[in-house]
Amino acid sequence: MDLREELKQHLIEQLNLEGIKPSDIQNDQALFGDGLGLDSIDALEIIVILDNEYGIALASPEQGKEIFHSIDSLAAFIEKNR
Amino acid sequence: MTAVSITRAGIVSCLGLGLKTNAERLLAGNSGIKESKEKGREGYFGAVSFTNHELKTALGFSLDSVISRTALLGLAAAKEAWNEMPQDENLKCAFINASTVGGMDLTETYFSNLHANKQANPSLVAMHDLGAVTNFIAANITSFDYINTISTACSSSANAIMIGAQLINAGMFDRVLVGGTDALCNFTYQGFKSLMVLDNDWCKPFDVSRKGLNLGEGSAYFVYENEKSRKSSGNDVLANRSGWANANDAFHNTGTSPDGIGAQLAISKALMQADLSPSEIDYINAHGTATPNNDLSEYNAMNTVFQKSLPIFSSTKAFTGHTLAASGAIEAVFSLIALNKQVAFVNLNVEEVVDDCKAISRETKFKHIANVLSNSFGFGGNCTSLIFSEA
Amino acid sequence: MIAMYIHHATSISAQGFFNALLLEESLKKKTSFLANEPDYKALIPPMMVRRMAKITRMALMCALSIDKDAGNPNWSGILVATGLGNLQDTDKFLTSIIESKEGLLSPTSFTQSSHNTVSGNIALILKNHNYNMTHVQQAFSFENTLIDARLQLLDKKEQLLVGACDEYLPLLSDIANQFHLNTARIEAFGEGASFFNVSTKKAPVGILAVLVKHHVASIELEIDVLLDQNNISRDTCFVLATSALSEIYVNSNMNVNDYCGRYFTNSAFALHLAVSHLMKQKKHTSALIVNTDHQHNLGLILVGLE
Repeated sequence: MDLREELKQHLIEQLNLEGIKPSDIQNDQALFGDGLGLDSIDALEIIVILDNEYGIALASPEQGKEIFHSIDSLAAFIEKNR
Repeated sequence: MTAVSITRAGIVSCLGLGLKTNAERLLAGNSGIKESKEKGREGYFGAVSFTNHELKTALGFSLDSVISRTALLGLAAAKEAWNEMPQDENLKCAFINASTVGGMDLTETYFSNLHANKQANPSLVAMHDLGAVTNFIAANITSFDYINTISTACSSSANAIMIGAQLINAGMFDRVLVGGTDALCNFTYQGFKSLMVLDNDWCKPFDVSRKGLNLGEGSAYFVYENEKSRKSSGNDVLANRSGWANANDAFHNTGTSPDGIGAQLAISKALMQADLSPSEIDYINAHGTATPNNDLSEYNAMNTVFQKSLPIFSSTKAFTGHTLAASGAIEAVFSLIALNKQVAFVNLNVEEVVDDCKAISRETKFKHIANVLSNSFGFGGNCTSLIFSEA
Repeated sequence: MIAMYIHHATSISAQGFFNALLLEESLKKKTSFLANEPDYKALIPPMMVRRMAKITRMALMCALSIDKDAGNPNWSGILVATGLGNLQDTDKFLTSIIESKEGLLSPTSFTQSSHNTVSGNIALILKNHNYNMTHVQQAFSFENTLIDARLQLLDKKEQLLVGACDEYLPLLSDIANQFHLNTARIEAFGEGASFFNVSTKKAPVGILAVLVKHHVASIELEIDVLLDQNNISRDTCFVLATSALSEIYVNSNMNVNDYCGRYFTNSAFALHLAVSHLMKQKKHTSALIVNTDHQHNLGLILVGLE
């Protein structure tokens, strides 16, 4: 499966995004704030996904601010670091 | 000022068992936080140095009795506070306890046994719920007319202290034992670890490079007595609980707003309740968990309320760690010691202070203390501030 | 006793979702007591409901319904009772600790496992900055919350959002079986949430007295004393009985356990039933909720028509 599609599935599952399908999330849409509306607990959950699914460890949520901007930026980070 | 008299206190923390030991170490600037190298529990913790076996022996229980550590710690401090005060059937007594952990230290053993062996001893979960822990402590102190448990995360025992005073003021009870207890357990450790708010080193409250909190455990209680009760017991007044307030940050489940709205409201309402102006507070025992979030919010809140009259302040969590539900009561007892010894405690382990603030206490500072403000803030935006005044 | 009036009530239980002070439906006795749940998304924002376990959903649905009915006031206090708290989230996090070998744990269930998750979430959604409290004292958690409500009204707070909630987990039945609790009682384990709009402003039904008494020798005597103190005769008083774990008081007009099942805070559902009953008929001008626990302690809530 395409990494971006896979990421969307992980997010929907791990973040309990009930009623949202992968096709509802745009690749360049802001995940936090006014976009999808994720918050700081979701950021921690994404860190768990990166660690458990892709073997990439982030030391702190602060590191994640730029990386977690969108599906595109997350995918780029994973491709670079796994 | 609707002051309520405090006559007795008891405490157990990583600084030791009892008021005297805790006071000595606070004055000496001697932290009880130690490094743990135990696999799966690496880090710095404010663990009480008595094992469950030692606590059971000291309290007179058989070694094979199934009692939660939260209950054992609680009973030890409650006994010091109550100190076998003679019962008087003309007096109505209440017990307001606080906890978040309850019997979780035993429940997690039940769960891991169940998972490993497909069976587990049910007596391990008999004390899981908070009310059961409170009932246990109560039953081993005296026959109370009313028993209750408050659970609002890290402000729990501060709220128990607040409600206990309201019960006396309302004329409903003559004598109220108030406080709280929490033991270290894996559930809590794993939970805070998953939130990435632990410091792997000794915590640094209000330091610009602070990384997070150190978990601790302990318990503390004190006794309120109205005049009728004091005539019967003969107890002297140690201090008065003169102000209190609870407010909500309503910003996030676990984080606090950058401006510390909930904290601002709690502090200013407590001052109003005590009929004191900010400049009449001589020392603030801050919540100061050493997380980047809390300390900034709290500092901003204190500055907003106190402006140019921010008094000397410190967090004592570099002494004890964050004792969760017990922290309000432990720090309330520290506030009583501050009044008794006329001292502002040192904020340990701070080098470069947030905002280069000069009001932080960099050493044990003896000075005239008439009024102490103590803050406790918890998950769910729960913010409580208490004011203690000299007798 | 400061005047405490009930302006609105909502409940979720095995009987369904009741969003009215007056219950038009006549209740049917049940044999199983899992909550009959409404569509939560009607009131709870989706990005919040996604994280919530059943107890939090039930409680929030009730609390937000009360808030909507009252016109979104600035509640001077939010007070919640729970006997066992957020069991599902506790179970989930404990299980995740055991099942993960190495690696990071998901924090969400931990953040939702605090006993004050419900009261905190209500304040968060309503942006309420006022008094917020959670009481956790087994069978008398709700009675204690009402006593706290009275204290806060004495402290000049005006309008309070007061409620209770508990959820069922199959593990509770397993543990009860291990303790050899009476099978019929285990089969009656239930769950639910009930919330109320309480204030000093007059309404048809008011709370006259709330008390919890320990090691009671005679329940009948305690009832007689309370009714006597309030100048109420037994024949005009509708008596409802509840219990979570113990024998239920037998001399009642209504065994509430038959309708909502056994859980620590079911006296809150009983209060809703009591208020509704008083408003629907003329014979009874007061109602008494008799709540017994397994240690011979007694909770009494007395309500009356204004």
